[in-house]
Amino acid sequence: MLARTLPPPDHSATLARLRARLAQLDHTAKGRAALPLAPEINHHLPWGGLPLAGLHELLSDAPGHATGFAALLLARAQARLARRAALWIAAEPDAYLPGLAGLGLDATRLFLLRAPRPRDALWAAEEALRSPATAAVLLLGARALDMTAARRLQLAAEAGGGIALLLREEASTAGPTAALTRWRIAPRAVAATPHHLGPPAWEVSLLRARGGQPGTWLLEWDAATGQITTQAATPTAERRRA
Amino acid sequence: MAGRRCARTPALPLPLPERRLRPTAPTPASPEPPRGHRRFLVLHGPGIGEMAAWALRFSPLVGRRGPDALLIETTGLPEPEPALLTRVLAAFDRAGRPATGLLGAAPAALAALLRAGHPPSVLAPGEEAAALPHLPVSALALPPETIQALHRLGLRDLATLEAQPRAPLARRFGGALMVELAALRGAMAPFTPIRPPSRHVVARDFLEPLLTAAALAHALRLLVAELCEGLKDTGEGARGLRLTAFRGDGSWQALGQGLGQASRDPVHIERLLARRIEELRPEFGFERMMLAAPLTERLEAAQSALSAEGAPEEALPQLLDRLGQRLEVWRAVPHASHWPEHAQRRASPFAPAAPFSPAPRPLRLLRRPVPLEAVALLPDAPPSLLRHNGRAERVVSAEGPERLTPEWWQSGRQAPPRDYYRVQLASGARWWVCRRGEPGEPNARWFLHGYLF
Repeated sequence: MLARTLPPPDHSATLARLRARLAQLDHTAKGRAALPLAPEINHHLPWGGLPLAGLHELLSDAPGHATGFAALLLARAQARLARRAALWIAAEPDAYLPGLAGLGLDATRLFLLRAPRPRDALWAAEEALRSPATAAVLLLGARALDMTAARRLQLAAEAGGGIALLLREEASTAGPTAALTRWRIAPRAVAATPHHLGPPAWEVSLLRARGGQPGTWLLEWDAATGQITTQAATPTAERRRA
Repeated sequence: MAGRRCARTPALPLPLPERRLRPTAPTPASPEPPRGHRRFLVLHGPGIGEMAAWALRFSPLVGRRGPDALLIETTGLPEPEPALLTRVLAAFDRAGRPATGLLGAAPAALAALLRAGHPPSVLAPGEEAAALPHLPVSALALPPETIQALHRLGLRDLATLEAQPRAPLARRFGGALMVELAALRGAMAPFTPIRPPSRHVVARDFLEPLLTAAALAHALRLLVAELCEGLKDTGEGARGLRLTAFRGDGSWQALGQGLGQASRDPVHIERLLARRIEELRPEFGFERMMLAAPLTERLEAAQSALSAEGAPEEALPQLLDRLGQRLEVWRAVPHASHWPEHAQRRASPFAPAAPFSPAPRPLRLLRRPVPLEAVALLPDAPPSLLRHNGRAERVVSAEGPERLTPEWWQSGRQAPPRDYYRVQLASGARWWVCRRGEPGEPNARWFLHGYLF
């Protein structure tokens, strides 16, 4: 009887309030700083770019292109978080700075760590991510990361504010992850002639993003401007048209 | 403080505060020797020379006098001298190296008295001077032939020896006798400590020997806090630390720990040392622990309590210290060489950094190049097919060759020249491959040397 006299409940206001509350609870909400990628990807991702203070998984079986993509992110994190350093953790770090310098990576703020045992590598990554001195940590070659380890890295990154990149040398993987995003990086030849390699290009697939949609883009790196550009005809668009 | 303020107040007559400031009469009956005189403890005992490092637990200044004697400087130690002597001799007894000792002013005289069979005791300056004249010449630290010659001359004790005119003695027996005579009277005390003493040392004794990791961690926290206070007072930061833990049975264990940047942050130092606790082997327990900062640097005062870990400038060396304890950490620095594997060198993370100039080089350079089988249309043409691990990879495009020849000014290396190609495979992957040897040579080999982008 009483209910009939009350005004109908305002669902939209309740929903908006709940959403705001959830956003407050989520440490990786939009207010966080993010690294810019290509404009289309920035627009697609819920954070307006690749968020700092988070763990991101990169899957690839082409070491060169995957390293290139990761190094670009390291360089952007270094530029974004001035005075902070980047760490390269691997069982046998084979970073070659004469080549990496071309991607804008600052060698004076890059440290290499040799961690033959995966346990040590995870410890070092977590320790580094918790520190306010780290802009980015690149962890190479971790075969399988269980949920606990990934969650720990994610929390450490949130505490320290740096970006954690996990580069796994396999093209496909199953299973859940605690990372914010999971990407697959495949090399693509763009405008290659028999005597000219052409600009570096990747096909980058966003397999998973917390609070976002998957997608695929064909990216090209312009060495002159240092920008990542999206190719006009992205594979996703073609597939939709077909 | 109050006295000084009084002295500056013009209303007060000058003599009054001065009288008030004048110290009261010195408290008498202190067994301490008058200030300004150095005091030494000389220990004799078979084989105690090798216990020198252990004897650092009694005093920071310990020297060896041959295999069977030790010299410990006790000037300024807070303990009363008789108690110190008893404690030191008891500790040597327990350590299984019984020793006898004399505490006095002139190490040479003390050693001579010990050789003459003086019982262990503390000698006041007057007692020392009174005991010396009766000292037999054979107890002096002189070569046997000198002692024999002195005996032949009828000089059997120190009193008769000292009564002789010095010039003929010096002409007859040389400088060694003169040096010994001067040393006996305390005119010189040549003394080389086994380790230069640190300005910053803290130590703690424990009634119950420490056995557990928790107890060691607690002791460490106390030591670190005390050391950091001392460092703060002098405005220094530690670059190197040495932790020495003494067991009850006369053995000890020492740990060294370096710091990348001078620090007197107790939290950081404790975190570094706490990781080393597992290396300590207490066996029957540590009864004394000593923490020293042998290497210090000037460190300006900083506001320490603003944030938990401070700015990146401070946090980075601390992070590198922690990581470097467990893993190999380095930074890459450029080196003037065109040979690819030499163009980048490892340097300490705290070494000065230098930027690299970009070059068309791979992002990752394989430490061990992977051998490849290559098919080329012509001997000096770029490869058109590469076989790697039994898989054939078709080459879509190739840039090169870039010929690198070994550096002739580097002696001892006669490596064949290399022709590098930047190739793109059908899969899109880019490799940096090289042919080792002249094209067309039968022993020319192909390698994958790095991954390009």
